[in-house]
Formats: sequence, structure tokens, C-alpha cells
Amino acid sequence: MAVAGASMEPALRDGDWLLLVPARSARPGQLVVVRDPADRARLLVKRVLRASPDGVEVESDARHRDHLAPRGTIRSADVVGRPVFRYAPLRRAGPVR
Amino acid sequence: MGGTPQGRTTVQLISRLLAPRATAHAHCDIPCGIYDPAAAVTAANTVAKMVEKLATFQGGDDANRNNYIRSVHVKEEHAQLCKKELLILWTDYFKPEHLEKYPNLHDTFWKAAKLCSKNKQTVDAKAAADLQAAVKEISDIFWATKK
Repeated sequence: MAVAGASMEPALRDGDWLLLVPARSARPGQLVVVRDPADRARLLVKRVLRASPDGVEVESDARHRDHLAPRGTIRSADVVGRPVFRYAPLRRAGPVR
Repeated sequence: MGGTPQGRTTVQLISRLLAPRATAHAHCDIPCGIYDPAAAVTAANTVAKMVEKLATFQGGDDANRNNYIRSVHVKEEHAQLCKKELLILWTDYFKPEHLEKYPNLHDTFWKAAKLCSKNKQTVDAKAAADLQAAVKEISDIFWATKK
């Protein structure tokens, strides 16, 4: 999974390569990859703000860059997984959180 | 070894094997520039509402204590949220030309942010009302700059 964009800085940077654990849910504060509700072919990486049995609400870390992180609950079916490890660039390799 | 043609091929092969198959977007979904003081206003109103509720709890049964603690928690959470929203407006939306027109802007934001902290620390109806007034003032300035 490659990261494109700067809305999750400083945790994730543009060009980071991540390993993903498949998951249908995540806890508040965890990173999560979800399908964009506006375009389900597109994947977004965000941070969980709230979690419920129905799904998750997410936000960007660099909030000022991204006032239109998808609002509302993203259904569990659209939660793809949780990034756990960055394997590139090598000098920043390690667990991500 | 990496310098030989064979070495380069190996590196390219490994790199191709490791390359991610999918891209997760962390883009700005739109260019910067969408700001709204509504979130700060709602957070300040929530703080005031919780302070109002906290004055009404009586009795020490478990349900009451639970609701009391939850109200304190929500108050502090929204005071913090209010500060976060204010700081976004202050640092990212307002520009030097706004400051020329509203010379007290920095002071207004600074005091409002301090009121957020005060409302975290205390259960004080006056502090809550002062925060609502300060956020309303900022909201009014914000919308005036949009005209």
C-alpha cells in the first residue's frame, strides 16, 4: 500500500510504503484504510475518530489540509485494513501508529 | 554487485516484487481554504450546556455519579475541541490583511484559547458564557471577512 498525499503527516508521508493487516474495524486513534464513500474504487488512509458496530468515522491528522475527510460513518464493509508497518523508505521503516 | 547489469536487474526485480499494489490517498480532498467557525461555536455551546447540567445533579447514587462524571468528561472534551478548532482558524485561515482590519484579532484568539483551558479546569458558568461570547466574536469576524 503506497501513501499519496500529505494529509496524514507527520505519521505518514507521501510515498511511504505500508504493510496492511486486513480488518473490518479499528479502534479510535488507529490508522485505517477505507474505501472513499464518494468513490469506492479509491482508497483513503485516515485515522479513526469514533468506532461503532456499524463502522468508523475518520479524520486526517493534518486537519487544516483536509477539511473534507469523509463525514459520517464509513460502513464496516468499506473498511479495508489497518496499516501496521512502513517498509519504505528504509530509513523510516518500522511500525506505524 | 549492485553496479553490474545483473545486480541492477536483481534490485529492479526485488523492488518490483515489493512495490505496493494499491495506493491509499491522503490527499487534501480539495484545496485548502474551507474553514468554518461552526465547530468551535458548537463546542463552546456544548461546554455551556454541560456546566448548566452539572449544576442540577443531586444525590450520590451510581446513575447520578455516572452522569455527573460523563458531563465533566464531555465538558472537557469539547473545551479541548473548541481550542483545536479556534487554533485552526487562527493559524490557517486568518491572514495579515485580516489583522490590519481587526487589530485585536490575536488578543481575541489568545483570550478565547485561554478560556477553553479555564473551562477544562473549572465548572464555571461565567467562564462558559465568556467562552461562548469570545467564540461568537471570532465567528462574527470570520463571516465579516467573507463578505
